Amino acid sequence: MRETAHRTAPAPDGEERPPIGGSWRVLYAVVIGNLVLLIILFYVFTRAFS
Amino acid sequence: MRSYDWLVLVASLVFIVVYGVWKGRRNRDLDGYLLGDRSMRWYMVAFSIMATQASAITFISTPGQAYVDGMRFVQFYFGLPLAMVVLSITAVPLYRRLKVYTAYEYLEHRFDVKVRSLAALLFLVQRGLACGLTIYAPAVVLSVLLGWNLQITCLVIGVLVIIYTATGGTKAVSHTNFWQMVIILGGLLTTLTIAVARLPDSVSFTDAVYVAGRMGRLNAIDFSFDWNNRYNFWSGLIGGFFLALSYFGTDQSQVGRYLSGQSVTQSRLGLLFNGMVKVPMQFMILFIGAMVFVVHQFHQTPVYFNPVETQRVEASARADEFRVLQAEHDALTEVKRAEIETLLEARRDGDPAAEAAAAASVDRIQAEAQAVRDQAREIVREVNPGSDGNDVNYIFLSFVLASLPVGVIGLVLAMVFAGSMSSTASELNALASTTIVDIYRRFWKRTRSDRHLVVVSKVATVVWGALAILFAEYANRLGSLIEAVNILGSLFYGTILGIFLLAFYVKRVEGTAVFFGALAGEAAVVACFVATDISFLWYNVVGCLGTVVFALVFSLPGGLRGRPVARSVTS
Repeated sequence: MRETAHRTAPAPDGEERPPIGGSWRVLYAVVIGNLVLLIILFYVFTRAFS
Repeated sequence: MRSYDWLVLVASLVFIVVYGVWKGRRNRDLDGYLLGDRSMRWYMVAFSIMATQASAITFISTPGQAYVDGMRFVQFYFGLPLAMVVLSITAVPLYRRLKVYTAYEYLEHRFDVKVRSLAALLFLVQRGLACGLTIYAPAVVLSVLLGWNLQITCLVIGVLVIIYTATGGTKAVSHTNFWQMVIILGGLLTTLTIAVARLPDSVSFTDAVYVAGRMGRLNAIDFSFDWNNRYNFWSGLIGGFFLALSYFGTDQSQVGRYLSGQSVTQSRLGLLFNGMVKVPMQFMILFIGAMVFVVHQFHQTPVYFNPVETQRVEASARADEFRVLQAEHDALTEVKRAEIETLLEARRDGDPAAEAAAAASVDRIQAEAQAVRDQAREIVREVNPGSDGNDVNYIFLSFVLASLPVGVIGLVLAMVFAGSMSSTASELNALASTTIVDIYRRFWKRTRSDRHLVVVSKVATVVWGALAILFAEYANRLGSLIEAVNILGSLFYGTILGIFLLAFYVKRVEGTAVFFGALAGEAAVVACFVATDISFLWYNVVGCLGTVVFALVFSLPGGLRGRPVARSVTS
């Protein structure tokens, strides 16, 4: 697998922007939201089948 | 094993080794050898992180854990996504800005050389031992189930890893990790599909899920708080957070993976991707164990899954007693199977009274079967006092060998080897990095050329690999292997994490106070290990908080004095 050069546009505060989501805060919220969703799903799963 | 299985297994191993050597063939300086020229894209970083954490122990022991104890082990990973976010915000930009080779190098920037050396030493001891277990875990199970020689199996795994890790360094490790993860995911999905297909025609997938749930194998969440309960929501979220923070933020075998990222963005994306998919992946592995449990409700199984221990009992004076237990177990399986079919019929008919009666009957028979298994385990322990009577690690591969078709068995074994090799390679790479950067170059050969350091790094990789193989040859009697590794890690991770938290977030603390605070924190962990029964996940909290609190106390006026902090790197 060949590695290719990759550049990401810097944000106004000098930090690189993520390629998706617009800002890192959004991506962090997505990861935490995903965890919360999984916990809810697992809870429902446990209640439904146990 | 048939010839097609051997073909798949050998082809996978040869591909990994040759590919690793080829990808790492152009390392000329230390940056290339230890950090892969910082050239990895996010998906390479992510897969490398995942493959490093997911050792063979994960695939051998975790389904067995669900088989005997249900899916509550998944809660162990709840703290991981939060740790990924925290590390993306703090550690990644900091390490990148300082252009360090190892996490411990940063500690000298922040404190002093003795704190750096203490953290590096704790890592070398802990990871050096764990590396041997990473090789031993699959080797012992494969040797028991397939009759392979344990010493030779350990040697083969160890030598194959040493070849491409020593030759190609971080580039070889990251690129092979990617393909090892592909093999692992392929093996898992195939196994899950075939496990479901092995259910009787009259039992649908939803029936199987229902049966697993009624028999207590789908207990993914437990919100009750209990200090002694090893896996509940709170110990998983809090203890697991500290463990993940320490493992991914301060363990060089993981730090080295994301330091090889092309930029802060690529390293962060790799960590965050891991935070998104790790919990579902563990859920899937545990779910495979739950499905294997259901399949076994419809087929006769051994009363004890370790065939070597079984043979030992059958050759002893307790053989007749053991055979009676096997016969009782077989009879109970037959009765239980009939009751489960009654249960499913009652459910289909919408008859709650009959369903409740059948469920109660299944529970009673299951308890009797478990009692028979416990008696068998007791006999195993009495015949061989060296055995702990724990057969968790043999359940999943016993199912694979008995139930999967030709070729797929080879794929699953390749998955087990890939898991072992991916973790071992990252660990050897990290052990060599820490030995060279934090010990050799720091104390003895500060001015030597990159070329010399690359050669010495290769030698260090080989030496650590040889030590790991040696340790693997002697590792034994560790119960569930995944727990043994996690317990071992938890003895040290909290202290190391405490050191790094002080470095990241507390500006007014000096090296000497941190050094002695860390020693006191580690003493507190050892005291908990020796004198209490608290769950090992809490060791991480005790070690971390102990280190922080003691260091802060030692920093008070009249406390320990070290050299002034030369500069702050947290701003």
